[in-house]
Amino acid sequence: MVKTETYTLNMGPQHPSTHGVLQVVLELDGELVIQAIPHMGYLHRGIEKLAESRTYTQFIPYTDRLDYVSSMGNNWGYCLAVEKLMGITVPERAEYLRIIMTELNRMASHLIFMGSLAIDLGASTGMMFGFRARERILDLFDMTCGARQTYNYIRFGGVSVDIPPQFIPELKRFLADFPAMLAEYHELLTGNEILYHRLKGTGVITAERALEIGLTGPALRASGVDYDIRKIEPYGIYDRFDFEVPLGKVGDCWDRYIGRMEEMKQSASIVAQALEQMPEGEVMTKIPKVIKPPIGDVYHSIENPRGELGFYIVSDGSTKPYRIHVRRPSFINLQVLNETCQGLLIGDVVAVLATLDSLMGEVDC
Amino acid sequence: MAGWASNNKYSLVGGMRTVAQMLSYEVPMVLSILGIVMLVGSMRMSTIVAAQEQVWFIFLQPIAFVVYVITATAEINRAPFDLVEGESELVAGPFTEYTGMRWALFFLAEYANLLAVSAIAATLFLGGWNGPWLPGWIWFFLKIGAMIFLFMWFRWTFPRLRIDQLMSFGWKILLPLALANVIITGIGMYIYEFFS
Repeated sequence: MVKTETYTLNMGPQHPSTHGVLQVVLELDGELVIQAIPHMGYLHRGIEKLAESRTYTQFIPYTDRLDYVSSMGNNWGYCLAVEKLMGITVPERAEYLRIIMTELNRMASHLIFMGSLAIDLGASTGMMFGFRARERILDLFDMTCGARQTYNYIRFGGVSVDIPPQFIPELKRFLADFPAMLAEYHELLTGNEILYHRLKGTGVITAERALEIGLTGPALRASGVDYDIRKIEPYGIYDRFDFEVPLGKVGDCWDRYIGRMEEMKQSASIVAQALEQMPEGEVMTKIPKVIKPPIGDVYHSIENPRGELGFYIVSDGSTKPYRIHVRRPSFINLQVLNETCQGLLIGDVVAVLATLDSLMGEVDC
Repeated sequence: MAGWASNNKYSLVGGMRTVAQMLSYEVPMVLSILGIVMLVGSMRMSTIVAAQEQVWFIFLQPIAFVVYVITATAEINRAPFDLVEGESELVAGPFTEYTGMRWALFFLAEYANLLAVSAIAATLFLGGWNGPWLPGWIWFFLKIGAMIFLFMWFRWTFPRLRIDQLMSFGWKILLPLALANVIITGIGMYIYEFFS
């Protein structure tokens, strides 16, 4: 009997498919993965600690840097938490704008997911397609708030500026084009036999295990658990819209991929509905010049593209938060990596990483 | 070998993959060409091209052509069979530690390989220099260009296979297909000779 040894392979922190600076220490037996231990912290900036020396308003741009491909959601989650603490209500038009922006951002984020999954599996054109459609969304954000990635758009009491006049025609054009784009992606990727065989049945996460580990977002819904904060605990005005939450059955990479593709469709429908119902009016309510929430603590969570993003804020009554804790979905979703990858091949680790869609900016807060 | 020499684990895995892939795809590739050799009765390139003056072998040997294209893609390590250097898994496989001209030599070799398999495909299946109006050498280069386009088209469209899928595809599908093609060609030739 030949005695074989396992060996370790450091995947990352500089590696093309770890989506940032994640290091995965793989223990391998040939090509077979025995352990896949994620090492994090390469992008740690101490955002939670920084918050303690910033005023409440100053902290909004920092939330942009958490999950930097869906910054609108981060802004919104933080603002909702502070608004809840202070009892601020938001004008109708701002509520609609927040929904439109966040849902567009969700689409942009899922397009990145699709693109990076495609490139991780070797289909280069998929990435080009994903980023091409995302570009249209970024142009919309650009004309609204001047930024393409870190928006700082949603503020306490509303949004920073109203949309420019050319926004709505451009958005309508995009929404009209989007179904055809999505059909094209389905044709290129979903209909591809190789992609199907790569994703189907790989990296199965059972519903029980997903709940135990605290998985949220599309990764949890792929396992068949119907948990979407937009439905269960509607924040903002999500209760006014008619949309479905796509659920998976098995919890493999394929379900996670299909679930996100479906979510993009639902998001487009939410944006279209919001555009129809949106009233005219103010986008910012009167808020105090100095934000000084009462003593107390608050937790508020929203459904971000990657899962449940929660902000826990402790206020001591001063202008600066006493403590902020962020529940980052990427961080918690990444915990499942090791057990999911065990027994798979190196190529599957990449697929599992891509479909968990953890973003390092959020993992290392 | 070069991958092993650079003492990098990515390169080592890439090198092991190269060997496995080469071994399992060389066999169906040779078998796919065997059908043509049987038809012509010669292994001389010029005789093979001359035999295609009436009809190209891609029409007589479609299965062999498909098997050849797939195995050739695997043989020259291009997507969807570029597991050897699959950049999202192994960074660059055996070439990870190479830079400058040494690296360029590997890639020159790779593209020379691409040109070579395209030229062989043009010779064996697409009728070589045969074609109307234009001089033969232009036809030959046009056919090579079309084959290179096909390979590059694959590369940008298809995702990469996984190593176990690659192996089972090579041994369980391509090899029997190539063998079946040889048998069918033999039977077809026998019948053809029987009636004429």
